[in-house]
Amino acid sequence: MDDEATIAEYLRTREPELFRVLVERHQGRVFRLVASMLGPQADLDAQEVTQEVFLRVHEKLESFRGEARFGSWLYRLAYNRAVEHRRRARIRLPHVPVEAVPEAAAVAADPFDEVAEGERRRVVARLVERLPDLYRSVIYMHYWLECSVEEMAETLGVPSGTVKSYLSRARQRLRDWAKADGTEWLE
Amino acid sequence: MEDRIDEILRRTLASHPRPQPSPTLAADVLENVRKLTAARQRAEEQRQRHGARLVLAAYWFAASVGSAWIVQTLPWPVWGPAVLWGLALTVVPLGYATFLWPQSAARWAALCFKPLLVDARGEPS
Repeated sequence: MDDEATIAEYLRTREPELFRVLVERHQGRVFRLVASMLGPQADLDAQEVTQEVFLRVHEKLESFRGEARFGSWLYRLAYNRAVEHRRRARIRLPHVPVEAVPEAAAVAADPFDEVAEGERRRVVARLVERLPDLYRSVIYMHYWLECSVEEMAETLGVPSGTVKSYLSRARQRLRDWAKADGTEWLE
Repeated sequence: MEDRIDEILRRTLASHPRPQPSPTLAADVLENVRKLTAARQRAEEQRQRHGARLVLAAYWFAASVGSAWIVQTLPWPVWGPAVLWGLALTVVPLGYATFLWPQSAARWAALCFKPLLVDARGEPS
C-alpha cells in the first residue's frame, strides 16, 4: 500500500498500526534531514524534533489533500520545523561550536600536524555553520551523514542536478570565505 | 581545488559520530499520539459538559422567571406573598442542605418527624 492509500485507510479506520507504518517508512529520512539542519552539536535535539514532526503530521493529516506526494509534504514540514527549532535554540541557548563535540577521529602522529588539523577543523566547522540553511543541510547530509546525491534529492524534493549544484555552490562559498579570511590551505 | 575542500570537509565532518533515529521512535510517536488524542478528547468532553451546564442554567432561569410571572398574575389572597416567601426561605435552604449534607439532613428530618411517626403508630386502628 503506498503512502496516500495508507493515509486514506488510516483516516477511515484510525487504526494506529497504519500510522506506525507511515512513521517507520519515513523516520530515517526525516531524522537525517532534521539532523542535517541542526548539525552535529544537536544530536539529541534531532530525536526530539523528529518526534515533533510526526506528531504535527498526525495533527495535520486530515488537511493533507494529496496534491503533492506525501513524502514531499512531510519533508517540507520537517525542514520547516528544524529551521524553526534551530532559530529558537539559537536565541535560547549559547552556541556550542561543532568542534567542541567529542570526535571519533584518529589523532595525528605528529603533534604539529595535530594542531594544524585541529585548527583546520575549527575553521571549516565555523564556516559551515555560517552557510545558509539549505547549503549547510546539504553539506552535513553529504559529508557527515554520508547520504548519496539521490537520497538528498528525494529528501529535499529537488532533482539530483539541483543537489549537485547546491553542493558545488556551498563549497564555492566556503572557499570564498576562507580566501577572505586568509586561510590559504582551503584554497 | 575541489578535491582539497572535499577532503577537508569529509575529514572534519565524517569524524563526528553519525546519529541514528531511536529504535523506539515509532512506538514513542504512537504513544504520544495516543496521549494527545486522549487529552484532546477530555478537553472536548469538558467543553461539552460546560456548554450543557450553561444551557441547563439558562433553562432553569427562564423557567423560574416564567413561573414567578405566572404566580404573580394569579389572584392571591393578602397573605399569599407571605406564605410564598416563607416557603422560599425554608425550602431553598433545606434543599441546599440536603444536597450538601444528605446524612445530617436525614438525621434532622428523622428527629423532626419522629413524634409524628410515634403518634401515628400509637393511634388505634
